[in-house]
Amino acid sequence: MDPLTDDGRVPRSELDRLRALLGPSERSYETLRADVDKAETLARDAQHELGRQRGEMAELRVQLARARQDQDTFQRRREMSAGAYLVDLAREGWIEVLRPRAGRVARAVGLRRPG
Amino acid sequence: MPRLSIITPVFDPVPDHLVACLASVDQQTSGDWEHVVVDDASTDPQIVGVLDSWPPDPRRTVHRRADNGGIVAASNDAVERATGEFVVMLDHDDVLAPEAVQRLVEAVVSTPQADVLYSDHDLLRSDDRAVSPVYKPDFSPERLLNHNYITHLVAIRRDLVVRLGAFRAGFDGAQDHDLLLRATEVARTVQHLPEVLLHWRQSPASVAADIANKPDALDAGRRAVADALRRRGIEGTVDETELAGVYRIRREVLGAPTVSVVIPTRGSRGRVWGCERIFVHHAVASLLADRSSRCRLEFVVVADQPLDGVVERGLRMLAGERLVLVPFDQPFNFPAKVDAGARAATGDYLLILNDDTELIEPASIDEMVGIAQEPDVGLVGAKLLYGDGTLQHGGHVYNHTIDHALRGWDGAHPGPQHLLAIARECAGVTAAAALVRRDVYDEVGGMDPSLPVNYNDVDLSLRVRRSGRRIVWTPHACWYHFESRSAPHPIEPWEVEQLLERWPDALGGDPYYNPNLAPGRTDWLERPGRSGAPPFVLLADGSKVWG
Repeated sequence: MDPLTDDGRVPRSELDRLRALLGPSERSYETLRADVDKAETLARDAQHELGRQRGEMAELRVQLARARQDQDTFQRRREMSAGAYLVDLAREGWIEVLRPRAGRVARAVGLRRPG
Repeated sequence: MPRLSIITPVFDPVPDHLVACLASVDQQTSGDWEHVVVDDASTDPQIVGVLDSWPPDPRRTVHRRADNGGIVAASNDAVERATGEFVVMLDHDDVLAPEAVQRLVEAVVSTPQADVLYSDHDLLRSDDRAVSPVYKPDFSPERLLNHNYITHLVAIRRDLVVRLGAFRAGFDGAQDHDLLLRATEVARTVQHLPEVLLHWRQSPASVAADIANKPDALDAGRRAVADALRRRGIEGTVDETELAGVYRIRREVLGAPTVSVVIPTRGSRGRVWGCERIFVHHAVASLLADRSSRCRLEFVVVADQPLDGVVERGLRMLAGERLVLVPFDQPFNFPAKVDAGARAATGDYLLILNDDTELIEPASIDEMVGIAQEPDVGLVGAKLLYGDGTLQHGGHVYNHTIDHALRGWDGAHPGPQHLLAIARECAGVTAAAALVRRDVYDEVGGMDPSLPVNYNDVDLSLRVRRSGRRIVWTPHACWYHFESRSAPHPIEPWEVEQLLERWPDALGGDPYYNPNLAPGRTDWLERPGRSGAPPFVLLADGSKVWG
């Protein structure tokens, strides 16, 4: 058991360590600096570990979105009649190809506000 | 109508794969093709049998080489025999989409100056299911130097191929990358067709499955890129990387240019990794600690007034005579601060840098200057990481939204299609760390103070691109950016309106994204049903088997 200080609040060894850190000599400052640098490195490494987990989650979220939307699309197409499927394809073509072009033309001739 | 010469060198593929390849040509929806097949002395009698017994078609010719000469010799034999206006490369086990020729012909008709055309492709699995589509950007020359993102399907004007001497001996395995590099250097237009027009066979030993299967091809690719640098007058080195088929290009910095690092600051303090810091001190100190740069650095710190004496003394201690302190006493306006810094700067290059940054990658500035030396490059962006090492900036994407590519991914992740591991063109880059040549900055009119908080970098990027220059993002210049993960500056509706009024078409057609990818996202998620995920197979008993 490490002996405590006279007031019984902290171990004497810890007090000695803190005194050494806070002392006026160059060596004390360097020790304190090294302590701070070490703490900073540890904090950075811990945050990076958290970041790795976050990054993996971000990637997995994309994969999940991909799986869900594919499942939904295939399910809907599976349940569609041939006619409905063609209508769906036409709708997709309108959204992807024709509507943006129409929007650009409308904006160019001033029929539609930007946005 | 232009006629296409599909060239297929053949050497001992799996017979069924050759059958699928030949059949895919026969099944084209357009008839404007000829198919030049060169058998490179196949040893498998079944291959000879397939070629001999295939139903004759006047548009197909089969030539047999007496000796096996390799892919380059066989491909060149095919080019010699081709008579069409364009040469289309088709490997002996790959499969054309039925409308491939039709689409290429339509593209040539609509863009007569197109000398090189390429499409998206996907991979053909061993069970003949097409998976993993590769949705490519429009022509991206920096990306093509860093790796052959184009691969298939490619059509090149035949007279151009002949003029270039066709495929070069000594580049076997990377002959297509080499030809693409040479052809795109002189092509009037390189046209991208954002549609899967080729299914690339993924046999266990093929490049499609893993390019590391062919180590000689990797070295040939490296030499092809090094040759491209020489032709373009770029001094630098090329090395292979741990990612097969990805090359690391290090450009020489010419002379000893001065880079003015323009840092707008309020002298803010904050806590990073548990320790209190004055941000601008660390931004400057981290650059000064990098001894590898050939550039002379000048620190132009544009500081809100009054500036804390501790901040100013620290800056003077750190930067000494290299410090140019520009007082700024107007309300916060990032572009106005950058412009004030630019006016005081004397450098050949301006590095616009946020004060809450810290350099990670040594020689980042040399990397950016090396790229910005090229006359047609207007702006160079860097990889920025949050304090937790996740990606903040991987280039901008303007895809019905404005955001950073793959924000929040692991900072060490190479990204889909290696796009976080390679220097490549982007629609725009953040001004948190962006390098611009002084003459370009002046020519485009600097940054616009009418967008004081948000989108001023988007506007700058779009003006740089409108000037005909490229914007390149590189992962080999890397900083921490201690910006809050949540939006630090909420975007006001008027800012969006102003940007859209100025650039009505800019936000929906990012040339370096792809229309097959979901709008409103910047993480390369495909549109529904286009991920290449094989749909289920419905069995006779009504049960589903997923592919």
